[in-house]
Amino acid sequence: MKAWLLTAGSLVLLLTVAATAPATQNARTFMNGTEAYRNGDWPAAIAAFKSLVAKGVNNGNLFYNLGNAYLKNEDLGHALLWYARALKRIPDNPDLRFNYEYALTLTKDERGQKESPLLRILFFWKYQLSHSSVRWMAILFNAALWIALSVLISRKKRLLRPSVILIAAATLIFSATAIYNYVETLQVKYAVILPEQVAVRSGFSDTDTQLFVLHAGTKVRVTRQADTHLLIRYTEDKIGWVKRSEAEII
Amino acid sequence: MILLATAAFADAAGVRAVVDRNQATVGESIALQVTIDGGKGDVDLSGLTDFKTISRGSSSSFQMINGRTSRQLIHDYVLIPLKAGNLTIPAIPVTIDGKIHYTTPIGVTVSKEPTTDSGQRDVYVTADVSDPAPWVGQQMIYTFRLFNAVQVADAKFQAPEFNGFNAEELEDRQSHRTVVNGREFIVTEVKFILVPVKKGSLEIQPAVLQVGLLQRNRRPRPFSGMDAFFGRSQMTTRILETDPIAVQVKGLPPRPPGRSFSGLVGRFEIAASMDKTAVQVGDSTTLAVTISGSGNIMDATAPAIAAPPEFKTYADNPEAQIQPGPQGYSGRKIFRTALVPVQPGQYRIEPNRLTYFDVESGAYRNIATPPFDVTVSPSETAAADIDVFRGTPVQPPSLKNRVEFTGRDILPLKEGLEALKPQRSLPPRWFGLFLAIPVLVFLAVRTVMQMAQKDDSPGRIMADRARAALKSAASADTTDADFLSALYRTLVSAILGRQGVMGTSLTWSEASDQLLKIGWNADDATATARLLETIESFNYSGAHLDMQKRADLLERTRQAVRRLTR
Repeated sequence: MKAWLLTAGSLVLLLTVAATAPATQNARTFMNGTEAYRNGDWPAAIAAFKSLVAKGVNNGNLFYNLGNAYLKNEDLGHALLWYARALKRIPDNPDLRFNYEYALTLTKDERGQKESPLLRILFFWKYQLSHSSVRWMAILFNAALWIALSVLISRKKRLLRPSVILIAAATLIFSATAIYNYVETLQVKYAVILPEQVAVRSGFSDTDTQLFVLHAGTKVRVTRQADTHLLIRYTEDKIGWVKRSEAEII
Repeated sequence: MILLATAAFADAAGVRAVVDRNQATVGESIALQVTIDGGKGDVDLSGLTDFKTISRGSSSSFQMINGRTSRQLIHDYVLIPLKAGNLTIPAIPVTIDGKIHYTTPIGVTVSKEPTTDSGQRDVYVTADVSDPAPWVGQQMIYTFRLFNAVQVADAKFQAPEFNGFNAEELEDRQSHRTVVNGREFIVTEVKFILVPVKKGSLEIQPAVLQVGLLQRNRRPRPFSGMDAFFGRSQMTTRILETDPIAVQVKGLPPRPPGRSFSGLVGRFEIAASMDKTAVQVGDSTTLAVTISGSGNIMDATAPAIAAPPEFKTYADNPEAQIQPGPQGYSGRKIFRTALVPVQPGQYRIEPNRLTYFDVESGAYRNIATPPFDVTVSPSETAAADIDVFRGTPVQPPSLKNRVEFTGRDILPLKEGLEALKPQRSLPPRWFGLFLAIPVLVFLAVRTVMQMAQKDDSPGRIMADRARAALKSAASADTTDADFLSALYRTLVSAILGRQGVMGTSLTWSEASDQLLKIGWNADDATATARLLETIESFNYSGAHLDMQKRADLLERTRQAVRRLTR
């Protein structure tokens, strides 16, 4: 009996150690990255943070750190790419907003597709809240709505009606926004130009006509994807092909 | 000028390449046509490494000869030779229906362009900078010039990248005439103000100009002899490039100790004026400090006013008059400050000092305004008199300064380990499920509640009573009295329940009437009423019931109840 207990205990300890080993390793890699960043070794910091991303760590703060490291390494294209990816996860983070806006001042091209400020005011929750926050608010309001409806029907309290109408409106708004976000994520792709300068051409070949030139950090909309190239739209009247290595989808 | 240089007919597949001439200079365009007879084909120009190729589109034509129609697809290209020498347009592969056909190679003799100062070129471009060895932050002028002795059209200018510089194009593009080696040229200038932002060896890449030259037709056409008469001409495209320009940017020397460097680089002056030097306590006088000159004047910040503590100071928004011009940015910036003394006496406004980097001398230079002596006398206005004016308060000048960035950098890393926590996105199907769960729960609960809710109508209650009494009667261990009493309750409850009324007793005639009311025929109603009477008579007579009689009464009652509670 004693031997059985000893064996079981050892097995549990072994499983615990095995489970926490990757987490400890990730933490060590992360600490190495921050240490390299503090020491001004930006390439080492980038390598450390990117290895975490390669391991599947999907976190806005990590992407923010990658953006910082790339920006310090004077790689504006990748810096804005990772800032943009971080913005999809933590759009309301003030540090991220500050650094992103600063990096945008370093780009050479004007912003192509400008969003209407009126839309940003009218649908402020869409722009201020992360996709995840919108989804969970929709779920919570929906649950509250049906609980309130149950109470309203079973207790027949008319006083509850205004509250139910308000909750229903909030449920509708957040559910519609969440669905729109899903569709937008699926259908609308944006990319960031990575090299210092990219020739946007009328076709895949280097001999095809150069239509216009874009620079590092410029955000473009991806309208079609081929094996080796992306068809990008900078503004309504500026569309062309770039190599996949020259622009990465956010 | 009529020239059909080379017409190379390939094999039977009907693919051929034609150029408009086989002699050109570097940068001069050659028109290339690739003709495919009979259908579509993909032309591969990747082998033309000695030329820059520009597609001019394609056209198709139909021909009918002796009743037979044929189709031609013509691809037009412009070739720009990249080097001098005997170049070859190699056999161009054309893929038609998966099969590759080749055109015949074409030889082209490309000669070097004559020098720009020879005056022999019809059109050429140059570029230069005003100072090839500037300081960091020093403005310089980049000038691109187009010299053309013939008419040009459709000029497309592509400026260099200016990596390592802040660049702004001057809006005014100027043209003038000049004579080069006895030949008159029109010179068009495009100027940029460049400010180097980092030190070291920088290179300004070539500027590129694509331009169309109007020339007489070179390709033979029917009646081409008439072109000379009518002065017809055609457009040929040329790509012109300037030479790259090397710029050696010098870093600023160490800043002088004890002085605050203003960040201005160029040539500047500072001046100051004061509208009144004799004021009363409470009166205001305005000190205007003007910084003027050429350079990054727009970066000039408000100087610190060294006013005595007996003065209150109110800074106004600066007034800037800055223009970009052929010499770069120049102008002035005026900083006005209202000074209000609060104590009488003799005071001195100390000079305002400015340290900037003088690009001409290559050193930091300190300049200053003169000091101002101000005499402040006691106010002649009594406090009581001042009260008269308090009804119309005057908005005091703002004490607040507009906060500007004094340096730019990014905020630090997120060093917390929460950066390692995964932020997984909720899949759409889970989102839909989470939305549906409350609805389903609501519907399920409502259904259960509806099912569980009891019908409390009199008819339902009486029917339940009838069933309960019948069950009691059917029990084997009941006495005759209980049995009969239960049967009576069963029948009464069933009949009254069918009517939807409550009650505990009925006579046989009432029972018959009730049954007729609910639509029974007279025989059935009478039979059931007689059953009720029989039960009642057995009950009151106290006669013994044998098993068969009990079974008969029970069965008849059960059938009646079944019919009534259906």
